[in-house]
Amino acid sequence: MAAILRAESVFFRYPGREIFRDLSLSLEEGEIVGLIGPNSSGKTTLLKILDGILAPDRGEVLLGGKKVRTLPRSEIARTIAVVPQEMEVPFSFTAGEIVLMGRAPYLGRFAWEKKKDLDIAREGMALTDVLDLEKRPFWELSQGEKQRVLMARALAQEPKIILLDEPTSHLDINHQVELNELIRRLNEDRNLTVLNISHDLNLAAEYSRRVVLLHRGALFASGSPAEVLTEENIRRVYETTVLVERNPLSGAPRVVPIGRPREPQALRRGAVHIICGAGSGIDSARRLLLRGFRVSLGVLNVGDTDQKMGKTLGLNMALEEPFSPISEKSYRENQELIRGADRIVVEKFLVGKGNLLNLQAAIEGLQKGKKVIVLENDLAFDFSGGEAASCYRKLKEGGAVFIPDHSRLLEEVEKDLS
Amino acid sequence: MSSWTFKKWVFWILFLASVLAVAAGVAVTVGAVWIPLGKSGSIFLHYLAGRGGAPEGLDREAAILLELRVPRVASGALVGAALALCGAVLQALLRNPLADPYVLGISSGAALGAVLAILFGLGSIALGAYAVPVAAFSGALLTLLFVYFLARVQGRVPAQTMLLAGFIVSAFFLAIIMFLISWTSDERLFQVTFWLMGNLEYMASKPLGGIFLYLLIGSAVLFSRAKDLNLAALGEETASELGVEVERLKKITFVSASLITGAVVSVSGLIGFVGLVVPHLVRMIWGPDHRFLLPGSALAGAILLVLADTIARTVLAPSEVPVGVITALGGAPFFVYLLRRRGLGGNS
Repeated sequence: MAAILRAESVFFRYPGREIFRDLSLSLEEGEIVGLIGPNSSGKTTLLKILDGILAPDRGEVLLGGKKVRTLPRSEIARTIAVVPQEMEVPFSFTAGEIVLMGRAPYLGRFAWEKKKDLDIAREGMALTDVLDLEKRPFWELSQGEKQRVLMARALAQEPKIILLDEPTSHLDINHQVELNELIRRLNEDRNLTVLNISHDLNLAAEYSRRVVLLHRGALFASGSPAEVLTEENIRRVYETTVLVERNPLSGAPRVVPIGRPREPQALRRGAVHIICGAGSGIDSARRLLLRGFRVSLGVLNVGDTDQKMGKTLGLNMALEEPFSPISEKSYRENQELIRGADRIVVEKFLVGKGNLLNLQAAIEGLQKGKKVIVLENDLAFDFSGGEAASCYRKLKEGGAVFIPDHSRLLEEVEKDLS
Repeated sequence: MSSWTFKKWVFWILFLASVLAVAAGVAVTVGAVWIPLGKSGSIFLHYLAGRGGAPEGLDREAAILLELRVPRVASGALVGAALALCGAVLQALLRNPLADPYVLGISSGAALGAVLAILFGLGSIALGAYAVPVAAFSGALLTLLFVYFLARVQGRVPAQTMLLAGFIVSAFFLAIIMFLISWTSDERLFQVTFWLMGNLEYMASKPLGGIFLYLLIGSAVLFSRAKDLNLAALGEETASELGVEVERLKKITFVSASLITGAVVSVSGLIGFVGLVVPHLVRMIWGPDHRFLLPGSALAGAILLVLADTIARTVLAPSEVPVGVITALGGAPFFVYLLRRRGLGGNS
């Protein structure tokens, strides 16, 4: 693999605003690179510099080893196609005419399009599902239709490299997926090199081989989606807290925004301890946090879904080693948290011998006069040899409140709370 | 897909050329003296055969036809074609459907030159009958340079800056013209007003070969950029991305269109609305592809101005209405109609 397009220590500024300071980026032939970064981090500007539309103040862009600013525009247009975010046309060109303009770099000054040009344009329109828009004036199309027409025009250029500026921002989910699948297919079939600006981190993660994260005019991170899209990177660049999961089908990272962590003012509303596991506590914890409660969890094994989420949210937790039964030590920590809590919530989770003590802790809390709210659990999978059922019975007899689902959770937590 | 093929293009160009021929036929026929086509036909044949004089008994008609009507119709066709062509080019270049050949201020420079020449009697000092057009064309050239350098930013000429520079220069020159007019009270005032309203009388009284060649070369340059103008109409960046050297295109087309406009204004004054309305008309019927729009507008502009001038000559015969008044009277309402019916913006 060789660098087909590279920016070498590029400096660029708009009047009064510096955009890039010594930025280098190189696209390998046949790569799909997702370019992400917050608003005004310079993504679109970088795209224009790579295409030679904007001249860097210092540094060079090399296309196949040649300085891009010295190449004739028509030669660049035969190699690089750009799909802009939007395009306004003041005259009534039809969608078909717009697509056919992608053939312009191949035509002489006085030549008319030949059948071959029409065929190539039609193929592009077929691939982007806009054949039926051919005769419609471009300015009458919806934003999503326009984006697909512009993609078809880019394909008509038969480029080696395609630079996309949020090509799916106006598309419905079906066309979003289709366009990304199309890009991937062209990449596989024709070895097309792709640079794709995206605000949708998950689409970028799903369809990029490499993700480049821009931050304040510099390359903050570059690597596989899993390497770049970490909670830490996103927190530092986007200044927001997210949870990074994995797409169970593709294995690509999946970013779930969960907002900024609550400040200690949340203490006012009281404290809730949640007994949970395997992701059963996520929903309640988030909702209680948003209502201003202090939330603690336990006992959880390190690596458990609830544990990861709790860590991201900065919650107090009683922890146990991965895949280990609850020990004396973690049990005590849990008791501490329960002592400090005003309410105890027992989520619906799988109970086995290893975590049976969590139910025991709830029973103890109940006996100490804490209000315990229990999500009804049919124990369809009981791995505790029947002991779980007896714990639930004790909870019921001891006066715990049973609720069938989360709809009444907040109400029960807040009832009689000063 | 493009609805254009070369065959279809040739067909419609020939069609418009035939309409122009018919319009010219009508124009040479009507007037203070009615010359039926049969008579004018035999006069032409006689003339083309290279025999001197005129066919028997047609001396008077031959003189009117060859010395007055034909030069007049040819002048109208040339001016109309040039204005409509430049209007189409500037509308694409500036991506502004309201642009016309006068939008860059070249015409006001020409007007100022002409007004100065008339008021200070340049003709009696030098150049004689050519004084006014020479002064006007000089004014146009100076304005072209002025606007161009005013609009230039770091070696580029952004379309919006060009539009603004043209507008400012135009407003400034018009103020000077108004000031000069307000100081004039004798028959020169009439001359100035007549010139400003636009007419073809002067141009028709002079040999047309030179200006024909000049306009032909200028038009050829513009026609050769038709495909690039299609892309420029999508925006400068888009045009670059699709392979156009945009700065070069802008310089070539801007200078060519300005030189054409300057020359035309110098010999015919300010004839309004042809350059604005005709490109819209052609786009409405045949679409916006500049490979047809440019020659199509030129032919349609020629047809329109030939007809308008025929009306100007005949409606109050034997006295004449400035043709600029006719084009404005017809063009303005038509433009309003276009505006109401289709909208000219991008989002209607």
